[in-house]
Amino acid sequence: MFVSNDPLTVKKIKEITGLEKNRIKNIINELISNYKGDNRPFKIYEIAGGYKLGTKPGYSIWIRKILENIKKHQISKAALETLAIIAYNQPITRLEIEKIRGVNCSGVLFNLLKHKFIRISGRKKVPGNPLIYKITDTFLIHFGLKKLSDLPKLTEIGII
Amino acid sequence: MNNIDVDIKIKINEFEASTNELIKKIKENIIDIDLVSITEIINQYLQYVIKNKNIIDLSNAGKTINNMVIILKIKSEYLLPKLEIKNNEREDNEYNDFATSKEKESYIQEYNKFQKVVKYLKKKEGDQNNIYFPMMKSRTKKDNIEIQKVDLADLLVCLEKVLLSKKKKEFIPIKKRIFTIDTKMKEILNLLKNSKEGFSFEYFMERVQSKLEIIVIFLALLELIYLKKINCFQNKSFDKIIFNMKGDALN
Repeated sequence: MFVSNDPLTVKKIKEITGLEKNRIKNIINELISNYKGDNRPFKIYEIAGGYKLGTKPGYSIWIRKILENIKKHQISKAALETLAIIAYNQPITRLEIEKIRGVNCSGVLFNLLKHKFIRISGRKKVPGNPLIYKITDTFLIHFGLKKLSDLPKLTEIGII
Repeated sequence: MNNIDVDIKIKINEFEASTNELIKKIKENIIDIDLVSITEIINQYLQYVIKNKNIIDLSNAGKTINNMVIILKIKSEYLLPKLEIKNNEREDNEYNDFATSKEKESYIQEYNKFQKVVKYLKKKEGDQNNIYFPMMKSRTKKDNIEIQKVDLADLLVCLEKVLLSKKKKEFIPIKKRIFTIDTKMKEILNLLKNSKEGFSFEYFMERVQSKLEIIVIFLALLELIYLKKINCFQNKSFDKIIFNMKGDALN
């Protein structure tokens, strides 16, 4: 978990260690509760269907001083809008996104594809066979989501 | 004149008539257009044409086609969604305005919903920015310098380019120089030893005086890559191919 660049799934841990899935889950849960205490600067995060070791938010002030040259990705508002529309309506075509946003989205989609936040999942069986887009694990990692269904329902969103 | 009316009879269910009569009956609503099969009419027509190809009058046969097109038009109009025609234009405009404003409103509502999602995602992003994961920094840093692998095809394209550019200039025969791949390899290694950043493919070709020399240098570079003494890379697509010394080759 410490060295893996992608979130480590239970399946992957099983492949490496040969342990039973339940046992792995128990050990991880044990570790999670162990790290919860104040005496540790890091904890295990459950994101994108796997586990990842990361620092606790409270330590970010000091960490930033060390990593001052490294800036995290800041997604633009247009890109966030596009991502939100894809996340809630995937698989979706460019035209369908543009219908909701009311502006051209080619550039935004190109950048999102470049940074691997979305992927092309095929073509829609309608005249013109347009490409359809889906979000990727990079999106889940970036926003710290376990899975896509973790996003609030559109009907609930007014409460947030 | 309309001999064809007598000649070609189209059978639809129990009704049998020429295409002219058929149109008439459809217009008078005696025959339901829904029951009229265009393919059936065409099949019957084609059968008739094939059967009587020697005696058929082409102008009359053409008229039947014309009638079939009319039936096809009536049928397609019937099948298409009907637009409500209102006599009062003002009322019509008002209706349209109402419809578009309602449509607009629903779009705005939908868009506003996503604005709230954007806020939620922004908050999540902010939270996530306070968490640091090991190994993540290399991902963010590497985004700017994307080093792509160079394969033989890229190198050949580059060689072709250099050869083409050299073709335009006249080669001036000076002294005959003998160069072997071995000597060129040594020359290249000597050059690269003193430069950390490395040199581009074009740099090696700058002072070249013959086609043969270009090829020898190219082969020398390939040999050095094969021997793993030098690296070659591109900073981005279509950029210059850069050669530099491998770390262990320096020793």
